[in-house]
Amino acid sequence: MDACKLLTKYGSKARILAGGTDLLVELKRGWHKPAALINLKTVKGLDKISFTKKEGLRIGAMVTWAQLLDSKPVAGHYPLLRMAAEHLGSMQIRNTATLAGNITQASPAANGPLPLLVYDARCVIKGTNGGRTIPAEKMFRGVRKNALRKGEVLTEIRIPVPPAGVKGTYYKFALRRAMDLAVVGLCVLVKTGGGNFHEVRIALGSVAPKPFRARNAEKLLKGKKTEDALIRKAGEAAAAQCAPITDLRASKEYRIELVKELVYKGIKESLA
Amino acid sequence: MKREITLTINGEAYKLEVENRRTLLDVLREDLRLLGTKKMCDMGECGSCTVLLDGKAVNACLTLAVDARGKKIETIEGVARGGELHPIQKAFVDKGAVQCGFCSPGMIMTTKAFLQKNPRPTEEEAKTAIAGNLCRCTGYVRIVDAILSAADSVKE
Amino acid sequence: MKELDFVGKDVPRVDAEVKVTGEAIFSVDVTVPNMLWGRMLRSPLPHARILNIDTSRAERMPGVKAVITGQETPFVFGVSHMDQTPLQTEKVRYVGDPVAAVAAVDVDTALEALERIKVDYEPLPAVFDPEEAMQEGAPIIHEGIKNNIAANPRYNIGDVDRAFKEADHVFEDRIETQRVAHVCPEPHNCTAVWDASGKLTFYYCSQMPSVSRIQISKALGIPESKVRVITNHVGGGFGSRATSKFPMDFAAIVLARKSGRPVRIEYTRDEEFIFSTFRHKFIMTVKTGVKKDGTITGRHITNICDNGAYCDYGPVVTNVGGAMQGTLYRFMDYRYDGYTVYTNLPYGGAMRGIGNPQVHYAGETQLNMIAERLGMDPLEIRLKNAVRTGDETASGAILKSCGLAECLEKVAEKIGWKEKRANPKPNRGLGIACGVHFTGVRLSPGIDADFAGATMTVNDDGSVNLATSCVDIGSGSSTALTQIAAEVLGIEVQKINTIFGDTETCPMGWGSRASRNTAVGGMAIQKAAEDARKQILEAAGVKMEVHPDDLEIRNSTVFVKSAPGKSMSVADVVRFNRYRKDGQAIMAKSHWDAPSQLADPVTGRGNFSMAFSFGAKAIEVEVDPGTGQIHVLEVAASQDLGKAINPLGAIGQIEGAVHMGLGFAMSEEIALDDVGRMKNNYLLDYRVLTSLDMPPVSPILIETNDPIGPYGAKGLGEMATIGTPDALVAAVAEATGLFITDLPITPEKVLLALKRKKSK
Repeated sequence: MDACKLLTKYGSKARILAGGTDLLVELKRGWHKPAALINLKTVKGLDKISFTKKEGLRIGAMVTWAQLLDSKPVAGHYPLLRMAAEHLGSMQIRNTATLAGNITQASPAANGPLPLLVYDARCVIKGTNGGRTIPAEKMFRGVRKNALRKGEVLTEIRIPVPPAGVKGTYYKFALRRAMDLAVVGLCVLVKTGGGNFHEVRIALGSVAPKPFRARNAEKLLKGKKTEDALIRKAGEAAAAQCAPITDLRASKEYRIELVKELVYKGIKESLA
Repeated sequence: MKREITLTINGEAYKLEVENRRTLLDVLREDLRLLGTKKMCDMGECGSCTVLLDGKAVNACLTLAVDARGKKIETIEGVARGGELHPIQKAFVDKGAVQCGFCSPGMIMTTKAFLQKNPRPTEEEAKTAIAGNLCRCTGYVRIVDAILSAADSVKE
Repeated sequence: MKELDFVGKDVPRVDAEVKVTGEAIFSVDVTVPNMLWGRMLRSPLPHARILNIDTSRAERMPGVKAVITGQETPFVFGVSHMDQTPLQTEKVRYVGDPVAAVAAVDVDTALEALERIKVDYEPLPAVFDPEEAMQEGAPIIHEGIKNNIAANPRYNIGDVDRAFKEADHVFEDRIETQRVAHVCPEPHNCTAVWDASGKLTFYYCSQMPSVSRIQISKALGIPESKVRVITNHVGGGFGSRATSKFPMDFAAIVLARKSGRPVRIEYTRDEEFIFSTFRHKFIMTVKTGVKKDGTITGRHITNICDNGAYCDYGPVVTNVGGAMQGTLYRFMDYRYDGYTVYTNLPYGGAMRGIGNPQVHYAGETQLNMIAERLGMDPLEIRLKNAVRTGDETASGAILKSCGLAECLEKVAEKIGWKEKRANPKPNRGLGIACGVHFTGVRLSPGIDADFAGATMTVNDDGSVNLATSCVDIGSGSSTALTQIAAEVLGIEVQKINTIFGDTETCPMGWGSRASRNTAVGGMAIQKAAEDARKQILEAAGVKMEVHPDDLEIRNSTVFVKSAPGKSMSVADVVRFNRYRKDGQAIMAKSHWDAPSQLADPVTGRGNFSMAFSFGAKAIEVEVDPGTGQIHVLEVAASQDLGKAINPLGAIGQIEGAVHMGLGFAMSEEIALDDVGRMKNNYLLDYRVLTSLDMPPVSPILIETNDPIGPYGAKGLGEMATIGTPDALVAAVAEATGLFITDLPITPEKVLLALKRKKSK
């Protein structure tokens, strides 16, 4: 693709421009001075959402959060992604910003990664030497560091159809009800049967350099009875896996307490 | 590097020479002297620069002018028609939704896009629609009032 | 009394139409031909001597038309204390202190030019804490100012030590408030234009253009007649634009003179946060004596105002908080020791309430704590001590109208105070607080004036040109003033054109501050309108051959009271009076000085305002004990405003003030790093509440019909900002059992406090 060729040519001196709501702010603040912006808006066909019962959802790189909110398949099959969209920025930002941009900017506080992590989404990447597809979780390598190599572009996000009978919650705990970054972000997906957890997926954001799945907490619950005391323990196990920092928004001590409380609450709410 | 573009704003075509990196907000205010769209933060955090691109509300400060080519751009200057206030503008006036007035153009553009898509909103939906528009004077109460009142009278 | 046609009605704002179409021109929209863009170079160090400034490389840059340093701006300015020069020559006193400025053909060139200016500094020890700055041995920030105490406003009324002896309990508590920003929607900006005759036209978003003019004229040493200040519509003020007191102003003026071209300087939002002043941080100790039954015997408040590097409004702000604490409750023994202390930090200024909200917060919060300690109802303890109509308070204020008790009772009723406190729900709580603020003020020693001006011309077609000294900064003053004029004249609001802001065409006055526009400005309007009305009636009397006392004006028609069929239009009266031999135009003027007194220089007592407005807030919250999140369920906000000239406008002001108060209470804080750089000078991490964050607000207007103000009106805009954090903290205390007084009260503070309590 031309975009990949340009990217390879300019190397780190170029940045991809999708929606631009994050990138343009960085440029205005003087955090980067790229020699070139490669404008994905000019590439045709990247703004499509498609869904089949067999393959699930395919979201192009230029699909905006507003499109995700308007999408019937998202509303019907991926309510947690829809909730992440509802809690993002403002109407103006949602009309412009893209899910792909949210992913590749790799802020630990981003909304997008959390539903993708619990839905086991995959990222389709194209480069000058072909392409590869990786689990969404592997896209995040650290604070504002993604897994794209030189010349690569994220072109699509694919989300399989969730297992039947799953329920879930998305929390963005922030200091304002709009236009804010999560102090703690949480996404929970559960499936129960006969009073036991069959499937538990817990994704956390803003509490580590990358969004991640709290697998110790998940293991604690899978196959066990849906008991209050155990769910509390899961909250503590999730908190133990966090490595939060103290920043303008919150202290690490508070974030740890919030994780314990929100994981518990989130799972309880999903069971209701 | 300057490039020649045409922007269609409020139904009129403007031929301009702009650098790729200039925002639509700066081009509107500085090159075209359309001063109704305000610059309050220039970072997409306040909504004062809201304009409509193909009917969708966006922050003009985070839109490159070159990316607005080929799109139907609407600014506050195009809302009133033939000297008549639009019902949304009238509602803002009647319901006490205007104090210093600096956020008003952005609020009105946001409201226009919102009511076009959701003509019968609830109070909560109206509040959510303007969540990206900051106001320091009104506390939003009369603005939400105006939006709900305008909803009753917007026909298009 | 005659039924009112315009006053007391929800007349739409007279400037709303031009604002909703985007036609309204704000100062930031002004451009003049040949204009240059100016930017300032600012110190990266908090305290340092300037050894050398080399501007030669910047001067040589293409596109740069003028570069200046402090050598070219040797003007001393300030508000009450003249301690600032626009650009520093000797030393810098905070990170951001300007040392040079450039004017260039565009902003990018100006910014690049700044980078080419070389400044050599010698760092000096700095101090960032006012309590440290007051100690012996602390670095001295302004030469000759001992202990960095720039001002020491004091009130010593009665005998507070005796009052404490008489008390059954004496409580002492330390309470602090944080710095918060105005966040005016329109960033600060100015455009300076010199013409060939040596006259300066200065476009500025000023709250007080006449005063700006005086300050500029004084500082530059040029006659006032050579300075014209023009203010258009203003995108918010909240006190940050009271007077011309910014380095930016003088830098633009001098750059324009040097370059021979107009110069515009405007702040970006991140500059606006830190360089347009903000609400001062106060460290207060409140000592209160109470009897068993809740009667307050006396109060002693010590207030350390963290001023920052330059005074600006600091001493006034420190003074005001002290004055008002002697005006709320009936105790007569009162002492206040205020200290305005320099620190090597960005400096504060006047912000809505100028010091009053902070000191009220300390006093009211302590009173809520006292109520809890005594097992008393916080509403009852207030009603017991509340001042009343006719009182002469400890501060010397004479209350010709006072609705304090009614304000308290009405918010309590609205919030369901009695019922809910009788049936408390877990994690829920109610809080109440009240306050008082002035209507115009005489608190600056030596300045025995608090006036407004108005001029009026009735035109041939019966319309009116009205010029006021009051600037409408968004508060709706032009509308209220127009309504008053309309009522007196009997001419419809739509026929009256009200202008403000141009020192060449508008009368002089103190402008918009201290909640004075409606009352002080309104009285000037009323007097001018009465004069114009008298002239109309006299002229009509001549034409209609009737005594003027037999005439009335309504709907632009002059008619005979006893024979309403016999009438003529105001327009015809004007034309008759003008186009005849020895004719006269219908023109009127007024200069109205508020009947207030300067305080006694020793005790600080005085009736320093024409009227005092009161208010109360009652808030209900629900706290989530798992996360500490505070859900505000309702804010009831009452306001004794004398008379609501425009009820819808008054309600809008209260709602906006509650928004600002909730931000102060829950989410706003200027966060500084260890050398005083602001960490959150952008609207994502400086949290102004969004529409989704606002709880239901119930404004309640209480009309006590003050005998002095126009139609009984008093001030409103600042009083409405008082009491919100006070009531909120009390409500959270009831919900959690803990008084968390550290503002802003965030979920984190609540949760961690609850955890600490649990672990004890």
